[in-house]
Amino acid sequence: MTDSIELRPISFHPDVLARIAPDLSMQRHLSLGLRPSLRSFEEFRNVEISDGGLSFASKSDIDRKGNNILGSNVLKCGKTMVVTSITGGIVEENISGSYVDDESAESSNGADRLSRFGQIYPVVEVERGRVGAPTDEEMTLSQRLHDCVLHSGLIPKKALDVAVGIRSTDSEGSSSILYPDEEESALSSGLKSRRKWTYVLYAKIQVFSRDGPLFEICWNSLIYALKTTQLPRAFVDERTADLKIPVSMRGRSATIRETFDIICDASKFQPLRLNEENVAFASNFAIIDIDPEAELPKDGDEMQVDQGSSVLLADIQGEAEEASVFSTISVISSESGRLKHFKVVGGSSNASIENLKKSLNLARLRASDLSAKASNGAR
Amino acid sequence: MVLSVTEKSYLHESLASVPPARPDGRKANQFRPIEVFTDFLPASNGSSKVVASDGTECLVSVKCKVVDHAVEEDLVVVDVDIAGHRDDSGLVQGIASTLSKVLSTQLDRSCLRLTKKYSFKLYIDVLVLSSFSHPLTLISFAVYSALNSTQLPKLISSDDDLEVAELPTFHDYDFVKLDVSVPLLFTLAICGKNVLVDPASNESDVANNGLLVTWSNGKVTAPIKTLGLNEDYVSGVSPQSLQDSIKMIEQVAPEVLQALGGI
Amino acid sequence: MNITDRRRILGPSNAKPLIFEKPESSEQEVQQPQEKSNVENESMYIKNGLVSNANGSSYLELKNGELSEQCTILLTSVYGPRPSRGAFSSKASLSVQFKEVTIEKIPSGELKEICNFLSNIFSAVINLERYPKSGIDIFLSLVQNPTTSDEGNLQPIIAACVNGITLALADAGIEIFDTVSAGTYKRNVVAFSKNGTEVVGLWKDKEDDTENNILNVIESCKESYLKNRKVIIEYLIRSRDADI
Repeated sequence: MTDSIELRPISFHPDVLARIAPDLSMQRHLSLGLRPSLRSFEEFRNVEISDGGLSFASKSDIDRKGNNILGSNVLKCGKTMVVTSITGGIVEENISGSYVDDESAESSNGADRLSRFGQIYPVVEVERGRVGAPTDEEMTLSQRLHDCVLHSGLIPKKALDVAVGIRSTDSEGSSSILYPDEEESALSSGLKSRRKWTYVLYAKIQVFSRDGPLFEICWNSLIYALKTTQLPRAFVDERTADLKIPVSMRGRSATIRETFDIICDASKFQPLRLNEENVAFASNFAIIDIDPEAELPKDGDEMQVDQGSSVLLADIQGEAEEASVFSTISVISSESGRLKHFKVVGGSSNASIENLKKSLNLARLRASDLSAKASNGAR
Repeated sequence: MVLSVTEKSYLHESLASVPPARPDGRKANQFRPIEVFTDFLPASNGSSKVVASDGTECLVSVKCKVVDHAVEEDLVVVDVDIAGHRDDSGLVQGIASTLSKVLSTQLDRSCLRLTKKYSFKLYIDVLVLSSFSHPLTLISFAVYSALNSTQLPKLISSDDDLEVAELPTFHDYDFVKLDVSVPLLFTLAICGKNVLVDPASNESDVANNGLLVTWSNGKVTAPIKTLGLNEDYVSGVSPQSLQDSIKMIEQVAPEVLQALGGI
Repeated sequence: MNITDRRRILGPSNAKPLIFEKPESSEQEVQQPQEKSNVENESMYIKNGLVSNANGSSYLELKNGELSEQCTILLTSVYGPRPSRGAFSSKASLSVQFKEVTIEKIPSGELKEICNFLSNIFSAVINLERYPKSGIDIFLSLVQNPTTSDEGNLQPIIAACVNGITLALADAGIEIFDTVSAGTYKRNVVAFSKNGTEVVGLWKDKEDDTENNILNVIESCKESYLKNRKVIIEYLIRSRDADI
C-alpha cells in the first residue's frame, strides 16, 4: 500500500482563475503590464453620452403631455449604462417680514457659503435582479452625490429662482404672458417682492450592468444631465394675481398665505445656469502593490521588478479589480484642475505622494476630455 | 385543501372530458349558491355581504362625500382587502385596479352629479374574509348589490348653482336611492376545450387558463383579460374557447342580474 | 406615525409638482389615433445581451414610422435560473417586475396588473419543470414611453413586453416551448403560441367601436403577431450566425 503520491500542478482556465482567485489573476495580469480588462494601467474606458431625447425640451414634435423631465442623459461606459433623468418641482420660500436683499446676504462668509448654492435630490437605483428596499450602495451613492453637488457650488441658488410671469387675457380673449425679466416695465412688482418661489430638482439615476465602482459614473452622468437641463417659464394667471394683491397690501401677507396656482409654460424654457467654473468631472484610481511572488515564471532574461512597488490604475473596472484593490482614490476635478472632491481610502497599499500627484494630474486630463464631450454633445 | 399531483391530474381529466364532470356536480354554466345580505351597516350609505357555499365571504360598504368634480376627477375609489394576502400582493392590487377602472369608467357620472360644481364621490371598501377561490366574481356581485342598495342624501338646494362655490344642502333624513347600472365581472376557467363559469378553488387549481369578462348595460364589454388561476396547469387556449366563454356569459349574465335584482 | 422614506433623499416636503399649461389645440390629438393604427411602417430595433450582469437581456426600440421621433424603448433583463431558498419546489418559480425608468405615467395598480398578466403568459411558455428548486426573475425597464398620459393606451407597451421577454429568455438560454409574441389591434393585445393556433394571453381594457366578435379581433391580432414573430426569429438566427 505504498503507492507513491504523484503531485500534479492544477491549472485553470483564466476565466475560472479570475473567479476563484481574483487577486492572483490580477497579479498575473499586472506582471504582464496589463489589467484583467486588458487596458493598460493608466487607461480610462471610453464614455459615450447622449441626452437620450428623453427631456420634454429636447424635441419639438414630441407630445409633451405628461412629460415632466427637464434634463436627461444616457451614459455608457464600457458595458455599464446609466440613465439619468431630472425632474422638478416648485417650492415656496418662506420670506420673513423684513425683506433682505440677496446681494448683501451673500457677502457673508464661512458657514453661509452653502446657503448660496442649490441642491439636487438624487435617487440612484442599480439593477441587480432583486426587488425590495434600496441597498446600502444605492443609499450611499445618493447621499454622496447630493453632498458633492451642494458643496461643489455647482448650482447657484439664484439659478433656481422662479421669475414668475403673469398671464393676462385681453378683451378679445387672446392671452399673453409677460415675464418680469423680459419686459422692464413696472409689471407686478408688488407680487414679486413678497412671494418667492424656487425650483426643486430631482434626479433619478438608473444603472444597468454594474461593473465596478459607480460613484464617478453616476456623477458624470448627473453633470451631463444638468448641462442639458431646461427650466420651464412659469406664470400665474392675472385673475388670481389681482385677487391677492389687496390682501397683501394690508400687510397681512405674513399671516394669510394663499396658494397661487403656478402654471408652467409648455413652450418656453431657459437653460439652467450652472456655475461654469465649478463644473467638474469625476474619475477614480486604484493603488495596488505588485507581488513578485505571484508573477508568472519567466524564462530567459529576468526583468527587474522592485520589491513592493505599487502601481496606479485608472478607472476601476470589473470584479477582479474591485475585489483585490483596497486603496482607492476618487477625485472630482474641473478642467482647470480645481478640485471639488478628493477621497483616499488607504487600505493595504501605500498611497504615496507621487501616486496622489499622478492621480490628480490624470483626473484633470480626464475632466478636460469629458468636458469636451459635453460641448460636442450639445451641438 | 391542497390536492396531490395525482388528484389534480384526475380532476383535470374529468373537467376536460365532454361533458365536464365538476366535483360539486354543477353544470358548466352553473354558479355556486350564494347568500346575499344588504344594507346592514348603519354607518354606510350602502352595504352588502355575500357568502358563497364554500365559505368565502365578502363584505362591501359604500360611503359618499361631496366633492368639487372639477378638482377631483375620480368619483369612485375602490379599496380591496383580502384576508391572508398582503396589501401589496399582485392579487389584491390587481383586483383593486381592475375594479376601480371598470367602475370609474363605466358608472354613469351624471348619476352622482349634484350641481354644476359638486358631485358625490363614492368610496367602495371591499373586505374579503376567508377566500378560497379567485374572489373577483364574488366581489363583483357584492359591489353590485351594495351599490344597488345605496341611499344618498336628498338634495334640497337648487341643482343649478351657476358655478358659485355654494355648498349644497341636504334634507335632514330623506334619502334618494342611487339609480345606476353597475357592471358585473365574471371569472371563467378554461379546461381543455370546456369553459366553466365561477370556478371553485379546486377547479381553479387545474384550469388551463382563466378569463375575466365584463358585462355592462346588456352586453359584454371590456375589460376582457386572461387571468392566472394557477401556475401548474396554465397553458395556451384555442381562440374558440375564448368565444365560447363570451357566449356563455351572454347567456348567463341576464339570469344572474335577474337573480341579484330580486333581492 | 411619521412614515417618511428614510432610505431615499426626498427633498423638501412642501414642494409641488410642476403643472404644465394645457395645450390649447386639441385638434392634433384627434388626428393621432389614425396614425397609430397604421401598423405598416412600424419598425423594431432589437439588441440582445446589453445588460452584462443579467443572465439574458434584450433591448427593444419601437418606432411608428421612419420619420417619427417617438419611440418606445424597453430593456428586459432575465436573472436565473438561480437557486431559491426555502421549501423544495419541483419547478421554477417565475416573477415579473415592471418599472418605468424615467417618466412615471402608469398607475401602480395597473403595473401590477401587467405583471400578473405577463407572468401568467410566461408560466405557460417557459419549461418551468426543467428548473426545479430555482427562481427565474424578469425585470422590465421602460426607458421611454411616447404614449400620452390619457391612461389606458397600454397595448403597444404590453406587446413590447411580451416580445422583449421572449428575446431575453432566448438570450438567457432558458427553455421555452415556443417563441411567443404578441400582436395588437385597436385596443386589444393577444399573445399567441404554436403558430397562432393557441392564445396564451388576451388583454382588452377599453371598448372599441368596431368588432364584437372576438374571433375577428383575434384574427386581426394574429397578423401583427406573425409579423413580430418573424422579426424576432430572424434576429435570433442572424445573431446566432454572427456568433459562429
